[in-house]
This record gives sequence, structure tokens and C-alpha cells, in this order.
Amino acid sequence: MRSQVKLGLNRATGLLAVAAVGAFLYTFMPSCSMLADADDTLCFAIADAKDGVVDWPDEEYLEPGYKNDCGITDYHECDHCDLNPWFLSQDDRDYIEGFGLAQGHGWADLGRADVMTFNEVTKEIDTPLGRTYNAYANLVYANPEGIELDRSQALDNFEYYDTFLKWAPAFVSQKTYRINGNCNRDCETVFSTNCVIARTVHGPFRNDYIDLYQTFFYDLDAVWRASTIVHEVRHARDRNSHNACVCGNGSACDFRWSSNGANTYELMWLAAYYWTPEDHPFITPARRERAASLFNTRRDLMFCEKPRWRIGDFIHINEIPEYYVEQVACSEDPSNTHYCLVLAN
Amino acid sequence: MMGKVWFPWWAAVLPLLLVATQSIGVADAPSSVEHRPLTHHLGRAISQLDQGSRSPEYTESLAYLKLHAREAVTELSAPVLREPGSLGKWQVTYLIGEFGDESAIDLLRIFMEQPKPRAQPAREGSHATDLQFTEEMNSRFQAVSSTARIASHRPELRDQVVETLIATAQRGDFLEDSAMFELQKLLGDEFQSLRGYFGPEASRHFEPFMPPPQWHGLLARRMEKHRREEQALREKRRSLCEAK
Repeated sequence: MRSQVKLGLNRATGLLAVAAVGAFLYTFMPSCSMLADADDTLCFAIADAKDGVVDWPDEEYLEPGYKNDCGITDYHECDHCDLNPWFLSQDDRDYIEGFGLAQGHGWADLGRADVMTFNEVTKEIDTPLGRTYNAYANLVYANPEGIELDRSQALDNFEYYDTFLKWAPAFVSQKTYRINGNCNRDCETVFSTNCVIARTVHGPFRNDYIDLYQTFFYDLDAVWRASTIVHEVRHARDRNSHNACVCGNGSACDFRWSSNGANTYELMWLAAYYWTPEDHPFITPARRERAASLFNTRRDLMFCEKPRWRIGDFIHINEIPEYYVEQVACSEDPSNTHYCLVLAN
Repeated sequence: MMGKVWFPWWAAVLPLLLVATQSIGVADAPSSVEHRPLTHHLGRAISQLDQGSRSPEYTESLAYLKLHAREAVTELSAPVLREPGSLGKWQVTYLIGEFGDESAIDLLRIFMEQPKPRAQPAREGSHATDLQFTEEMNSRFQAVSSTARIASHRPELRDQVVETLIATAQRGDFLEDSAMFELQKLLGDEFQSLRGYFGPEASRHFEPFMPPPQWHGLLARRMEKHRREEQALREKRRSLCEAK
């Protein structure tokens, strides 16, 4: 009996000792260590660079064993470098930097000097910053004026921003203070595909900033990345947070379309991207279809009260953007204070 | 005593080692996939999907896939029907719409009829997005659009496409709006003749969206302005191409 008690105590002591050592190691482990961030693959990739070359992750979590089933081995993210004017032009890169990237934090750790490394096989851009440029490229070149667009005009100047795709880059530029790159993979659990894409911090007495996580760089295609930026920017200076309600997505929900929140803005941009001419110099049919799929999915999932507006209802968003954006009064009558979010529900 | 202390360590580390060893095994295993022309063209079409017809390789592979549509659809049916949602699955669903035949319409119909997926629950207050679920939803919506696209390159299948889209819309589930939108695009004015297939709750689909009358003047001016700008851009591009 006594020896059994002793054995039990020894076992308990041993387990306690193991737990204490584990807790000690966990507390002092650097952020890229296996125990602290077991799924922090981007940190590992950077830490494990061979001769300065990083083996950037590429959708590792979304394609388990897929290539073995149908023999398709090449994946890409709808953002080939040869379709991106910024790839070989310093002026274009400077224009993109002006969106707040120049003030960003964490980019040096992610290879700031290297925006143009690309995968030889898929011709895809590898680096987090390069992929972020690709997202901005979608914002900039969806409007054929590209870097010629003056983003400093007032946001209610719809004679100048006479399409939503002209208005959107100005909105993003004027409402962004700083955008950071973050190597963390912020998921529910290790190996989970339920992950935070980006986060915006705003509040009084501080400069707003947007953190982009590993999921933003490596699990999203460039069209989704671009709409995510529009979404996050709506959180920033407009201080428009998500509503506390439950939707199909389970989180990050807005009550309804007329909450006029980040989800509404994201969807408006996707709709405008979809409603571009078929021979658009930058937007290919696959990108247009991708925008439509994302619009439909996000519309279905991101609102607690499903919007009645469908993608077809946005057919004029690139003709009369002011009709869709809460920026101007609907009537010339000064006593009419109703704003033009006519698409409210 | 020491053995007892280390036991929990080993118990924790051993499964990790096993998983790691298995992963290495998978990564190093030689590919058992035969390098058939079909596999080659499917892979190339997907890798050039973004560029589409701007890529000669894509055009060539798409021509091959159109000629061998039934085999290609068979090859892609497993990823469409059984794989979890991913960007790759969306790409495959899009590609089927580019070359598909009758069997593709059947495959996409089965895919669209599958029960609606559900997102994994997120932690309270978390702003996480379930990527796999979102991509599955993206693929379902793409299946509707891909079905409609088949009618554009195989006009002889237009009736079958219309029938499938009507059936999808009549189910009244989350794909209804997309199916109605695709029918509207496909049929143009003829779309109004479908009113009889749907109940009064679907009437909103048959009323074209128009901004209020006070916007019509501005709308017309902008449309004209943008039409002129686009024309000028096309001419500029044409002259640049001819100069090359």
C-alpha cells in the first residue's frame, strides 16, 4: 500500500517536473521555435534560408495530397508576374509604396529588398512583399489610368473618380496610414484552415495600422488579396468595426449591407472588378470570374441578414459610383439629408 | 525514476516523429502519375489559366481538352466531387466551363446538388476565415457560372445548360441568385419567358435593376464618356501592337 502511494507520488512528481520544464521552455522560446508557433511556416522558411534564398511556402495547407489524385502539379495564384506592370517598373513600384507600405513594419524581416523573386516553374511571385504588390496591382490597374490616377483628389469628387475602380484606389490610399507584413500564421489550431487573414488596429490617440498575416500572402489569390485590402482599409480610418452578430462565416460579420462596413466595401470592389469590359488590358476572364465567385460567397457568408443585392445589381457601379457609395446627397434639395446608399437593406 | 520522467516526453515526441517521418515519405515518393498528353494539357491549362487566351500554350491545351472533353471531365470528376475546397478546386471548376461537354454539365449539376458545406466554428471574438470552406463555396458558385459558359462555346448544348440552370434556381437554395443571373446573361430578353417556371417570390429576378430617374441623365453621360475613353484606349493599344 505504502509502496503504491510512493509510486503514485513519483509519477505525479515526474509529470509535474515535465510540465514545469515545458512551461519554462514555452515561456522563453523565441517566436520562430517549434513549440511556440508550430505552424509558423513563414518564420521557419525565413530562418532556414539557404545561401540567402528563402523557400517561401505556397498554399501548403490547402492542397493536401491533391496533386497525387489527378496529376495536376502546378498551382498558381492568378497573379503571374508578366501580367503585372509593377514587375519591371520602378515608377509603378513607387506608386504602390504610396499606399502606406513605405511606412510599414516587419517588411525587412520578410525580405523587403526582394520583391521580385519568382517560382521558375509557375512564374509566380514568391515573396510576401511581391504578393502584396500584386494585390495593389489589382487595385491600381483595374482602372486603365493605372499610376496616372491622381489619388489626392477629394473622395467626393466623382467627376474625377467617375468609376468605382477609380474611386477605390484613392479611398485605399487616403485612408491608409501604415500597412505591415507579419510572418505569423494566425489560425485556430495548428494545421487548421480557419485563419485570420489580416487585422486592422485603430482607435483614438494612435496611428491606424493594418497587419497582413501569412494567410494573406500564401493562401489567397491576388484578387481576394486586393479585396481584403479594401476591406481592412474600411476598418482603419473610417473606424468601422464588424458587428457582434453571427453569420455563415461564423465571425467577422456585419449586420446587413447598409451597415456599410468592411464587408460591404469589399463586395462593392469585387462587383466593380467583375463589371469591367471583356477586353480589359489587365483583368483576364479568370480573374473576373474569380471576383464573381468571391462576391457570391462573401455575400452569402459575411452578413447576418443576407443582402438582397446581387452582382447583377452593380452593373452601373463603374458609371455612377456615387450612387453606390455613401458620399453624396441623393437629392439637390439641401433639406434632403438622405445619403445615396440607395442599395441599403 | 528517470525512465518514468522521460516517458511522457517520449509519449509526446514519438507521434510527432512518426508524423514527420510520414510527411518526408510522402514528399520523397516518386510520382506514380503517368505523363499522358491529357495530364500534360490539364496541368498546362491550369498553370496558364490566369492569362487565358493571351497565352498560346493555354489556347493550345484548351483546344486539346475540347477535343477530349469526356476523358478530361472523367479525370477531373474526383477532385470536383471529393476534394475539399481549395483554390486548385476552384481553378478546375473554372476550367471545366472552358472546354466542357454534356458530361461536364452532368458533373457540375451533381456538384451543385451536394449539400451546402458548413464553416468550422471560430473562437468567440475571432475574425478567422475558414479558407477551406470558403474555397468550397467559391467552387460551388463557379460551378453555376461554368455551366453557363459551356453554352457559349458549345451552342448545341444551350438547352441542356438552360434546363440545368433552371433546376438549380428552382431548388431555391444558396445558388438560386447565381443561377438566375447566369440565365439572364445567357438568354437576354428571352429570360422574361421563364417567369412561368418560378413562383411570385422570384419576381425580383425579372425586374431589371435601375437607379431612380434622377440618375438617368448622369448615367447616360458617363456611359457615353466611358465608351469614348475605351474606344480611344483600344485604338492606342492597336497602334502600339502594330508598331511592334
